Amino acid sequence: MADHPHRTQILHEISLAISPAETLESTAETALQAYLQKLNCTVGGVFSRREDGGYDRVIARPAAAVDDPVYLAARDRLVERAAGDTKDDESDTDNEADTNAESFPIVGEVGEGGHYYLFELCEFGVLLLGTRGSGLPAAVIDALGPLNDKLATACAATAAEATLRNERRRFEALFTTIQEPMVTVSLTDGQATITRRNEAFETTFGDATSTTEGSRLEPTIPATDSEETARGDETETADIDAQLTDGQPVTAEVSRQTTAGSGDFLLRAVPVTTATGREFFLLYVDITDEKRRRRTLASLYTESQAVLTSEDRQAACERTIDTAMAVIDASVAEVQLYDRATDALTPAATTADEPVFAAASGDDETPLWAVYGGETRCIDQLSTADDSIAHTGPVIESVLLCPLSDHGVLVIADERPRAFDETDIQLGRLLSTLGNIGLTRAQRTQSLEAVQAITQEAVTAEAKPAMVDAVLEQLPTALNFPITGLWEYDQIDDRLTPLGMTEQAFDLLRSPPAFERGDGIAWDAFERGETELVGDIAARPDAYNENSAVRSEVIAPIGEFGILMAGAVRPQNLTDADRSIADTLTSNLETAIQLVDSREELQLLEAVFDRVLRHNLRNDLTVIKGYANAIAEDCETAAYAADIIEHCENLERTAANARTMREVVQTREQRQQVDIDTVVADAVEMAPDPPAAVDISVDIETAATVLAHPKLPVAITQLIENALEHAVDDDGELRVTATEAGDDVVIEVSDDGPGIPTTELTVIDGHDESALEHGSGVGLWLIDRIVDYSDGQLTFDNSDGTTARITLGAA
Amino acid sequence: MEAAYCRTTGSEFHATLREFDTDPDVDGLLVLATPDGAFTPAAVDETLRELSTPVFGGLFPKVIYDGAAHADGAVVAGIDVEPTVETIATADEPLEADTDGDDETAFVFVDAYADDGDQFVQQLFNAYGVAYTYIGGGAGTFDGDRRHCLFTPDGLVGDAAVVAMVAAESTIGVEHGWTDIGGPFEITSADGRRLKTLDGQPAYDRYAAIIDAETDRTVTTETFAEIATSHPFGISRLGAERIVRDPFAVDDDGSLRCFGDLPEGEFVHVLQGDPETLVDAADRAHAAASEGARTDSAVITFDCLSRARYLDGDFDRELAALSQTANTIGALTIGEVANDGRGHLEYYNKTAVVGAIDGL
Repeated sequence: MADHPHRTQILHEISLAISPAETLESTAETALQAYLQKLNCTVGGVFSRREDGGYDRVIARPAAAVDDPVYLAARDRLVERAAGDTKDDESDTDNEADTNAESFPIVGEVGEGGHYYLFELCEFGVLLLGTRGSGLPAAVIDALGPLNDKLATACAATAAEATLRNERRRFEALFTTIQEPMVTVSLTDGQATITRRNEAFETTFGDATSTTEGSRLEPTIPATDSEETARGDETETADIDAQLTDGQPVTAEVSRQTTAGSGDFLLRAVPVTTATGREFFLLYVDITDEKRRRRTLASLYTESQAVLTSEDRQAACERTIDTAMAVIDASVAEVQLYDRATDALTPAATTADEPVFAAASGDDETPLWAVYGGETRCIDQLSTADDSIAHTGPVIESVLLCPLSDHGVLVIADERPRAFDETDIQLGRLLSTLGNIGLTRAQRTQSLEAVQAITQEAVTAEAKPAMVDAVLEQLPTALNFPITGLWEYDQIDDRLTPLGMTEQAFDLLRSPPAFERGDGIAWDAFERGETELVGDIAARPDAYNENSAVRSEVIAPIGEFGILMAGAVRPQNLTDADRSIADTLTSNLETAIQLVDSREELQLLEAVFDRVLRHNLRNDLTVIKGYANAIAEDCETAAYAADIIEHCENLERTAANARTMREVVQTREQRQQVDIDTVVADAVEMAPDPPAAVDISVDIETAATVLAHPKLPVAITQLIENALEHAVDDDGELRVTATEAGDDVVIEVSDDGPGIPTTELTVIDGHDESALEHGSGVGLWLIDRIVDYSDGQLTFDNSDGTTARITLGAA
Repeated sequence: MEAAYCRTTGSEFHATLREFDTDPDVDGLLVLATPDGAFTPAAVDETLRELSTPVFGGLFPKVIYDGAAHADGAVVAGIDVEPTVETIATADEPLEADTDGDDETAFVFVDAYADDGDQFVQQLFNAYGVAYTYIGGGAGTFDGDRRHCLFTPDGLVGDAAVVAMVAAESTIGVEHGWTDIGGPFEITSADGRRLKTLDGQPAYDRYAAIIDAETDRTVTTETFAEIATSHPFGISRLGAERIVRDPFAVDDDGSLRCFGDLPEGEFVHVLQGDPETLVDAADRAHAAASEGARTDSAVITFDCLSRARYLDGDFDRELAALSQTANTIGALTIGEVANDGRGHLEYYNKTAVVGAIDGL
């Protein structure tokens, strides 16, 4: 047995090997090796105690000891003891004396000469030692207590450090590999300092944020340049600091300046108390895109309204692609519209400087046609895809194609592969629906305006052939009816005869057919008087020509006149909207044709009337007047002849007035600026000479000018003639005055007579003549029209003599 | 086990190896050779690799055969059980403990000048513990010439250890007979096998002072080698003989070089020898090994060369004690490795080891 100094020396030498090492295993191994060597043991082990009372082996030496009978016996004993411990814990007793668990150290013997020893390592676990031959002296067993305590402390400290180190390592790994900006801030003596920041933080916020300001816990990252936001940022930062200082975690959305401009971040900050003090971990999750998308989605309603209320198709296209770029993260958006004339999808709008995607003709093998047919398609990597889409300019890898119904295709593209996710596809579909509605509405508006314009042109046509030519010339561009023809019903032959076609229709069909009674869909529509939309002619057994190049068409009857047929080379390409427009157009054309017919008839009547007044009537009156004069000279009944002559002269004046009236009406749109004194002077000059006893006075009290019909002096002359004829007695006076009344100029012709008969004035007021109620001539009508065409007012005052008053606005 | 002594290390040695190799009763070859110039990798590797029988062993200052220690030649022993031979060349990597229930004795030969010689031994214990009875020693030349000194099936290797595990029971006797004359003295600074300071003083100075105080001899540069041979250090182990550490050289800074590690912080005693106690120890070692061994057991002994140098004329008595059993073979080693299954495996100095191996 070793003496005390020797034992002390050995224990001291063992103690030299007990100290915390890098890992728990190395700490335990170094110490255990010393135990085994110095105490001449054959096996040993260190076990850590689990929370459930069981033990985990930290290390066993030698490695082969796990098969050594001494080691196995000791371990089994330890397991039994742990079970006892657990049982005690479950029995919920506080009385230590009642425990069944053995107290340490536990000593046991195995076979011949085998001994094991289980020593408690307080707050950590158990030390196992085994010997062969002589066992450990009792004094040594007792003396190992302090050493074991030291080993327990070293192991516990190492384990704790290892745990911390592992946590630290995990955190460091997380810190360095995490893609989001992350920073730690420590607070020492009221001064906040950034202790660590990851690469993402530096990349995002740059170097300017390497320090915090004073005690501010969040790094100094300015919000924006604006003063208002800066003030808000100060308040926000103060709130964040207050929460963190209070030990509360923070989750807040913040706007911060970045090296690339500015961004929105979800700030997650948490205070952590460490051995060295309090530390704050701040993670900035970039939600710039998310917020932008949220904002965009929030304003999508407004954006969609803009698309839906587009004034024309071009605006609808441009707003659709602008909205697409706002909602979807893409590099370019375009709209390709279908052109019926060329059967091609052609670029209509692009967010790039120039269209990226080329036009696609009907023969091109491109997914654009499948999409035009109604299928949404997303290509993740165009460079390796089976499909190809001709494009120029930037590299394009991702393409999202959405149909715009019969209008065309919405193309959204990006240079990155797999740039679009399911959300983008859904947004694309939504946008294409909006774009389609916007385009349809704009097209309808534009079409209605075009119908109005076409109608206006139609009604002003001199004759039907000119009208037909005008309409056919406008249809391709104005109504997107490039393949259109007009047929007229021929009553004599009882068939629909072609009147004309658009150029594209002529190129396509060459010789338009005439439809006999019962021929095909066209005759049927004409006969029923209803517009018909044919989606696919090839599918209609009653088609006139099932092999026609035209695959879809609208047949719109023009009343009893005939029909309009508009076609397209693709089935289902003409829609209900087209049918509606065609229906409206033909309804207007029916009226226009009637107007043109009426105008032709009126022109004919006018020509006849002009000839009668100007030639036939005057010539005959001249002859009659000549013979009447001859009769008056030679015949006893000269009094009758005088009457004849007077009536002839009346008829001559009436005819002259009628011609003047015709001339006035024909020039009703004309206006000219004239001086009032000139107008009155001309009128007096043109008036017949008054009887000798009648005095005409002229009093012009204004130098104003008026904007009036050129025949205004004729109207005043007629008033003077009427006064001379009906009102002025002998020795009477006829007064012509012109005065200003505010902004108006008033011209009055006054006399002392009884005035113009009431019946004449009633007819004038009513602007109507009938067989029972009519004026005595056209003189008053002439005055009425000229004043009206001069935007003036004609009134009569019979209270004291007769005063005819013309009120005109001063120029 | 059948052994042969080859006086020459040339063709006779190669022929002997091949002869044993072709013997159907021989399943393993133990080679104990002297460091003749002919034992170079170039000279023997081809032969070693051609052998169908696993070979292991080493070069030692002297070999023991037929009751005599030979400074030349080689002993080749054919053993009747097939050994599992493993070479340990790296101290940093733990050995994979792959114990076979039938393997009960492990021959361990370590390059005595290997940088990690002690660690190789520690590795063995850490891996296998007392699953084996270990016997062996340090190989190499006493003059410190570093060379490939271990026989393996792959050739002659150095700076390593070779272990051969055989399914054969054995009993071991390990004794040294050295006794304390002073101590304990604290190893205040050491680096592996280099003892820098003792009790805070240069190791050489402190050692000389101890010798001066405890003996009637005076250490000088001239007498150091001779005195050190008779006054090694001893490291304490509980319930066991001290582990002897043999100083053999003095560095310029006063450090002492020893065969075997001297851990810093531990304590050493200064020992002294007496021919009688040493021979008695050898006798006890033989007796311990023989106790319970079968009469036909193969007896192999490894005795420290420095004991022979110390005993000088009395070494014949020690050799006789160690070779009491007929056909004992063995070697004079530079450090010894032994464990009887009852304690920690150690790398000894100045110790006599005898093993009686059954069925070999």
